[in-house]
Amino acid sequence: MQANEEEKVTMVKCILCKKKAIQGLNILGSFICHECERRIVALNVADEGYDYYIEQLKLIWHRS
Amino acid sequence: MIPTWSTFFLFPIIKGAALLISYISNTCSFPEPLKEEEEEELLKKLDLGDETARNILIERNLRLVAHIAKKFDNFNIDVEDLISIGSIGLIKAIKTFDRTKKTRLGTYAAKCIENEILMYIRTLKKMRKEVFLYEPIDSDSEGNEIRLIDIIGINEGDVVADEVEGIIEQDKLREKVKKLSGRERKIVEMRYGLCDGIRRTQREISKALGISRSYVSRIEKRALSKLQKDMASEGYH
Repeated sequence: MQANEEEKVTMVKCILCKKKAIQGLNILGSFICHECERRIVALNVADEGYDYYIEQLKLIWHRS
Repeated sequence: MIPTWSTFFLFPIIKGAALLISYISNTCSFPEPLKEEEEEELLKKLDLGDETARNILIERNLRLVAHIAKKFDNFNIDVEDLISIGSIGLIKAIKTFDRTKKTRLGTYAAKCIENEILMYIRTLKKMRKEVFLYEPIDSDSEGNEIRLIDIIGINEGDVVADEVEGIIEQDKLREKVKKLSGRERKIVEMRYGLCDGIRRTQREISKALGISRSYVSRIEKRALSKLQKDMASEGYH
């Protein structure tokens, strides 16, 4: 129970998938979960979701 | 004074460059680059799986992204888009960097960032070969969008008549629009007034949906390309 509460405290919302996760990148205060980081590494410019990543990554410097 | 065409074309470039300079020079935005020894230390930590080291390596190379993006500011691409694309390249670089190959991280990351931007430009060029008459090519001094159809002087009625021959094609097109993804469908419907007969500008749509105009433009282009291919595959031209 105590461990669960501690987990909740450290969970952060990912700027890309909007899901809460514990581990991932923290760039200038913007959090990207491991799953989304993995997707970015495999991302191709012709992929359908590429435009979404372009938009969402702007949050990194808009927030900072 | 009536603005000239050069004013229309130069304004976004100057605005973009000013924004970019502020990213580089503003101490509140992107942090200072790392010193060689700091970088070496963080790379060692990264090899041991230190997450914080990875965050710092990315953050402290964002200025490199902005500097590389600056090289491409004459391609008429939103400067913020370029920095986002470069950031994708940077995240890929940090993830795939191999310290044993004796290459400096900066050299490797610069290649990855540049490569990502170049690949994007190549994809854009392919899309730009398809010219859409209703695509805004600029805006006037009052912010109203100027479309290709406005300057080549074609009667809109004739174009519409040529484009959509008969009610059967229109119905077919509406069916295809329904198959687009949620946001694509919404943007095409708003741009061409498919639901309420009111055609909205990309700027109006961007405000309504809370996304940037360049994002609306990219989604619209992608959706129109899909519709074009889909219609062509069934023999409609």
